Amino acid sequence: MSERATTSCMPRSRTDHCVPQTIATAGLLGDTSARDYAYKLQLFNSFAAPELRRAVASLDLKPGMRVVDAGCGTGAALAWLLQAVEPEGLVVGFDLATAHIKAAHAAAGAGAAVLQADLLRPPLARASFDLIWSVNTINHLRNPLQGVCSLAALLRPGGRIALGQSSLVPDMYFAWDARLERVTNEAVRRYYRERYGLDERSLADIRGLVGVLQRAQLHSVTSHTCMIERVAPLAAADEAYMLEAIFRGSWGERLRPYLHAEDFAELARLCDPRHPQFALHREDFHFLQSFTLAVAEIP
Amino acid sequence: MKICDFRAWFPHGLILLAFLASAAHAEPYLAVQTGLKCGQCHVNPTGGGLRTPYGDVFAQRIMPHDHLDTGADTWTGEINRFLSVGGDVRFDGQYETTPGSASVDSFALEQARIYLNATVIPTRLAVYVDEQVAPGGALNREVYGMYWSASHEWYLKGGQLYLPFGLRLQDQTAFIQTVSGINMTTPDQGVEFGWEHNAWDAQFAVSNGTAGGPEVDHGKQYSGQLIYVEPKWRLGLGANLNDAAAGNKSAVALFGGLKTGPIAWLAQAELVDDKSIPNSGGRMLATLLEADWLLAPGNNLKITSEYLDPNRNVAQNEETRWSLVYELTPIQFLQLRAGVRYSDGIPQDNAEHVRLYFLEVHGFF
Repeated sequence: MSERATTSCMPRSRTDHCVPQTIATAGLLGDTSARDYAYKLQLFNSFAAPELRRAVASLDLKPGMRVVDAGCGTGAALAWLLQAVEPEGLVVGFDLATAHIKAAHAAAGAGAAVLQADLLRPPLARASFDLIWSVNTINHLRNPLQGVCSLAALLRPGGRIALGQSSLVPDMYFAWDARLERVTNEAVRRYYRERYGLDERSLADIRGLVGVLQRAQLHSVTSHTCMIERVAPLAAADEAYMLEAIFRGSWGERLRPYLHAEDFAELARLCDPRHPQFALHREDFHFLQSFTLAVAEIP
Repeated sequence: MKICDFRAWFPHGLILLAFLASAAHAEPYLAVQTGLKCGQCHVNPTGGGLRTPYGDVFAQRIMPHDHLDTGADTWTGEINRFLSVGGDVRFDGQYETTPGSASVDSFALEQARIYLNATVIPTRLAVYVDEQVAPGGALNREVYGMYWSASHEWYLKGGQLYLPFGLRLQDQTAFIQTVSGINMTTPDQGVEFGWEHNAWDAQFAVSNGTAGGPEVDHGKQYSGQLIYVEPKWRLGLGANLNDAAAGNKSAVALFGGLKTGPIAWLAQAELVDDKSIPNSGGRMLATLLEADWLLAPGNNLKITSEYLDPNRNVAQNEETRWSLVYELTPIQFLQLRAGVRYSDGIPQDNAEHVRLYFLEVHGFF
C-alpha cells in the first residue's frame, strides 16, 4: 500500500475521523503500484487457507452482505468471501500493485470486482459496505490509524472491520534450536530496518492492532488469535510456502551479513532441500505461526 | 428502406456497431440489484453519465455474461489521477406501427455522448462535462463544477445539470419522465446542494426552470428529493416547483426499489399540476412499475407497466404502456437490447395506440 507521510487524525463525523494531509511515494515496506510479490502471496494463501477460511467463517457473514477486501493481494479471499455472501451479496477487492490485481482478477472470476487503488484513497462510496476484510495489509502502512480510518469510512452503520495479521508473536521454525531461531529472527528484523530505513519501534507498530481500532473510534473491539500449526510430514502447500517464501524469499543470502558465519552455515544447511539436515524433512519439524483477527464495529 | 432489407442488413450492422460503440446511462435497477447508491457507480451522485472506477469494473466483471481478457490493464476511465473520461453510444433499429398511418422502420443513432471529469483537487473539486456529440451537432447536457466537503457528506454543484427528481430511467419517454418534464433531455441551469449521510441521500436544486434555455422571468424552479437506501430496498420522495409567468408547474413523486431474489423492482407514482394549462387541465398522474429479472449474468429481462392520466378532471382518458425488453450484455462494455412497447389510450386517438419494436446496440466505457 502506498500512503501519505503524515496524518492528521481528528474527529469530523462518524465515518470520517482522519483526513490525509500529504502524499508520499511508497509504503512502510516499499509498496508501490509496480511492486510484485504475487508469488509469495499465493504461497501464503495456499498455506494458510484452512485458518483464513475459518477466520472468514467466524465473521458470520450473511447472504446479501457487501464486503470489501482491502489489500486483496492475489485475491484468494475474494472467492471465500463471495461464497459467504452469495447469491445476492457483493465483494469488492482492491490492491495497490498492478501484478496483484492481475492475479486477483484470475482468482476472483466473474463474481467479484477488483480495483487497483491506494488504501488511503479507496474508490468506493462511503457508508456502503457491511464488512471490510484486510489481512496482512495494515502493517504495510506508515500510519495504520489513517488506513483504518480510511477503510472505516466505507462502512455503513453497524458495519465491521476485520483486520487479520500474522506473526504478531515470533514464529517457531526450529523447535530444536531456540538460539538459532532467535538470531535468525533478529537478523531478519535488522535486514528490514536497514532496507527500509526503519527503527525497531515502527516495524513493531502493528502489534498495537487493537489500539489502532480503538483510536479510530470504532466500537466493540475484539481480538482472537489462533496458531497456524504444522508438523512433519508437511503437505505440499506448507512445504512450498516455508521453502520458497521464508527460507528463500525472506532469508537466504540476504541474511549473511547479519549472522555469524557458523550460524549462517547452519541456517543454510537447514534451508537446503538437498542437504540431509533440511529442516522441513526432519521428523520433529514443528512450525507455529500466530494469526490474529481483530474485529471492530462502526457505531 | 423496406422491411426485408432492414432485416437482412440488421445483424451485420449490429456486429459492426459492437466494435464501434462506447458509454453509460442511468439504470436504477442496477443500484437496486446491488443495494448501492447511484454514486457508487456514477461520478454524479444522482446517477447517470460518467462511471466511477468501481462502475467501470462492475461493467467489466460483474455485469456481462463473459469477460474478454484485456491482460493486466483494466479500463477504469482514469487517464490519470486528475482526469477521467467515458462515453455512451446507442444505436437502434425500430419498427413502429400506428393505426391509420403507414408503418415506419428506421435506423437511428439515438445518442453518442462523451463524458469528462477533471478532479482538479482530487476527491474535493471537479469540473464535469457531459456532451452529446451525435446525432446532429454537439449538444451540451451537463456542465458543472462540484465541490465536496472533506467528509464527503455534502457537496455543492453549479452549472447546467440534470434535476434531482425521482427515478432517473434509461427510457426518457416513460410517462413519469415526460409528465414532470424532468429527465435527461431537459437539464437546467442552476445550483444543487447534496447531502449524503449513511443510508440517507438528499439533493436540492434551484434552477432557471427553462430546461437550459434563457431565463425569461424572475421565477425559479425548485427541485429536491430525499432517499433512504437499504441493501434490499429504498424509498424516496421528490418534489418540484417551477415558478413560471405562464403558470406554476408542481410535481411530487414517491418512488422506491425492492430486491426480491433475482428480481429488482422499481416503482414511482407522481402527481403533476401544470397551471399553465387552462381549466385545471394540467392535473396529471403518472405511475411506473418495473421488474428487472436477472435470469443469468448478462441477461436481464425488463418488464414495465406504465399508467398515465393526462387530465385528472376528465374520466376515461387514461393511457397505458407496456414494455418488454431483453437486455443481453454478452461482453464488457457492450449491450444488446431487444424490446417491444405497446401503448394504449382512448380509441379516438390513434397516436395513443403505437406499437414499437426495437433492437438497440448500447456501447459504453
